Amino acid sequence: MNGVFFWAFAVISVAGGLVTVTRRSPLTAALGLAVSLIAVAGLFAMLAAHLLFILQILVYAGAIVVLIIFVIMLINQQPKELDAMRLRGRRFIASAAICAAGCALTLRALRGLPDFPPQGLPPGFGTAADVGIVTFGAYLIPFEILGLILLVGILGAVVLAKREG
Amino acid sequence: MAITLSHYVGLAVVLFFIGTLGVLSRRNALIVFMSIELQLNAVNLVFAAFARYWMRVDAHVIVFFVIAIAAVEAAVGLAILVGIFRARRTVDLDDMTVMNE
Repeated sequence: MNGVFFWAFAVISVAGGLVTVTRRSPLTAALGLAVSLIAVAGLFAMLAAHLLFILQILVYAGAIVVLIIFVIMLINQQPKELDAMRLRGRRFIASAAICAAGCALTLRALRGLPDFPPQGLPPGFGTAADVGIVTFGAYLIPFEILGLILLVGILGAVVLAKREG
Repeated sequence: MAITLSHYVGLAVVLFFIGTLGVLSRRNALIVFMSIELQLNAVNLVFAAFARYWMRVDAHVIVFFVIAIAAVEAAVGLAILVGIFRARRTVDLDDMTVMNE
């Protein structure tokens, strides 16, 4: 049963990724990205990462993809410009060869990983309470710095967007 | 067939290299941006798989940080893209060669 879900999510996420990388229209690519991100959210759920499942859908497939689609519509490229930027045969084949070689080498290097431990997970693993206790314990300072980075990011985006009125 | 740690890590490697393919081969800056999101997401999957393996949630905290930083990166990166588009009327990476001349 687990296997069926894993392979379904795996195929959907890889297909979504390939759509993102190969399509001419950025809007189609954004939809492929959303599909891929939601499939990975399903894998997070299978790994008992409950909080990450929710965050992936809310922040990634929600906020970030919507922001990207918003900018695609703001920039509004014409079909002629998109045609100029579509995949070129030679560059694509060279890149695909590099990526296939890198992928094969990495997979080879990672052979023989151990299996998941046989005993069950502790109760409440990966829930918001469980992750929150660790976040506000060992990772409190990085968490505060993260808040600062978010603030700087918001200010930076506003300043960049306001330029030239 | 049981699903093991290596299945998750293998899938993450494949997703990461699909993202790399987009970064290397595309000229449309928006699609390169989305490919980078794919790569970040693949790394998050590795973190979640190893959190399940070690049965510790520390990696979930790291993924939480990565997702938050990706949101900041999206906000600032897309603002820069819009700025470049306003100034040059293009998002074609092959045309952005000012620093190269």
